[in-house]
Amino acid sequence: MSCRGIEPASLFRRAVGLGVGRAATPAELDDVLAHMNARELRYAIPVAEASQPAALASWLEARGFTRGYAWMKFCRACDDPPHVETALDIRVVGRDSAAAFGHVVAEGFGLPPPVAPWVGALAGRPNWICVMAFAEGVPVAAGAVHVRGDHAWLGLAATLPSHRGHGAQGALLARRIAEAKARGARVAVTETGERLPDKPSNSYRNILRAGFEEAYLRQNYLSPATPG
Amino acid sequence: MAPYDFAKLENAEFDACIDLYRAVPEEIRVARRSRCTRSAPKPA
Repeated sequence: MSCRGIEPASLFRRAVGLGVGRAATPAELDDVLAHMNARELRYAIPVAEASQPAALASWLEARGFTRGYAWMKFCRACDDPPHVETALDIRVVGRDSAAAFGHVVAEGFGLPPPVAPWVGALAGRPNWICVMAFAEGVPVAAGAVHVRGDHAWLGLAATLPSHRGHGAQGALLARRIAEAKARGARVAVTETGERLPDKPSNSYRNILRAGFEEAYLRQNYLSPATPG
Repeated sequence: MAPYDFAKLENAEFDACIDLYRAVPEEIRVARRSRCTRSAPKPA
């Protein structure tokens, strides 16, 4: 997947699924790199310790890839969703709130305007549950959960800068776990950046408070500055 | 909740990303995904 003009590469330009479920081969890796290099933009290839084969990381390093900012993967059972007290109004939103949902996510992440209608299109989309936090009727935070089978992925969690530090994300995490459980999910999955001394760790703390456990660290290998 | 299933945790994110990219406006779409990873249904 590759989006032009939106950063970071580790989020918007990456080859996902390589070495998951079965071992990648050098030929497959080179085919992926050729495909991504053709875009002439820097991109990322995530690799975890369990990615197959174990040599995948060294293959990337031999091709000029460098370690970027790793992500921690978290999971938890959907049983017994946390209960979070909040003064905010937490609501599942549909298509009529697409613009507001897209705006809050884009603004909260500091992403460019084209991202807003894209992300907004998830509101009311099958398998997606979009949840927003409102302060006195004004949307201030958002998050989504995608449910497929017995696993649910939580992502796109953002709070407007003016309303950070008021517990919105904790409440949104709790509601999304509950919504995922109600739709048959048994396991909730999410991720955020690795906890490092020079990086903000609010999301990391919120995820742990919501009952998630650290599963594994996944390194983002970044392509050479000028791919190809 | 250990032990977890690595492939299932990764695929939960992967499935969401694939569907998210189906909703990408044409002006910012240059490719949905590599043809070398797992096959996915064509966009509706």
